[in-house]
Amino acid sequence: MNEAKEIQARLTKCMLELVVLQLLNERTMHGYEVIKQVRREYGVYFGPSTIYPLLNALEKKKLIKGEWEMHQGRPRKIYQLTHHGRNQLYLHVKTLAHLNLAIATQKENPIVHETVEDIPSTP
Amino acid sequence: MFHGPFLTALHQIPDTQCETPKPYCLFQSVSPQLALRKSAAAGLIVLFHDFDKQDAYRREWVFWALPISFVIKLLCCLKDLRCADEFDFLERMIVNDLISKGLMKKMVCDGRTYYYRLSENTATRLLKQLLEIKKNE
Repeated sequence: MNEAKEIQARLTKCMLELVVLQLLNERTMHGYEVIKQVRREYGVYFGPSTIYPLLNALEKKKLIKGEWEMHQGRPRKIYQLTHHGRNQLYLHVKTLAHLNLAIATQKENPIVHETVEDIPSTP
Repeated sequence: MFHGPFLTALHQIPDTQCETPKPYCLFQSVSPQLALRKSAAAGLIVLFHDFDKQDAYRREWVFWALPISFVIKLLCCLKDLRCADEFDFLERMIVNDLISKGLMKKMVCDGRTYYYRLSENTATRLLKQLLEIKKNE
């Protein structure tokens, strides 16, 4: 079980950019909410020191757009996906699906085939 | 008849009040008592991580859910040096969180990392829960 969780954590870390873009595609969020949603939906914790620089980097690449708003007397930066970001997300998801299919249908290597089927659907 | 929160069956506690604890994962709860009850039922031990900061006027707790085997390894660090090789990836992630909070110390010697001096307060809390779970078994 630990190994499955470790693989899940490593893969999520590798694809964190994609994960964040996917979350922002569903609705607008602020940084802390992104941290919470990643934890809840993917079962892996990434602290503020990982998420906030990533959000800044994505904003610099113009994949997401941040706007300040006041909430309970405190300023809060709400992020939303841009058109360019949505395109990038679509390309990433398409490539990933293609890769997944290529690995899953590899008949010559039964171990790979078996492992892909055993991956639990929920975190 | 009194219908307080302590008389509520565990399966009746909604996820909005206390998330289901999973080993090596964080979970959020509106009260520490609920978190303790839910995790004890799952055979897990609770360790405080942080307060939820989303809402400035509502206090919610975030806890680590730790399996017993890992807690025993942690308790060994109270008086002893433990090599990082003994801990797996997920365990090291939690240990690093404790180190960043100053609840544990880390030392690098001959290219090997060692963990030691777990905070006594943390150790007491973990030990208390561990004994409670062992008593109920």
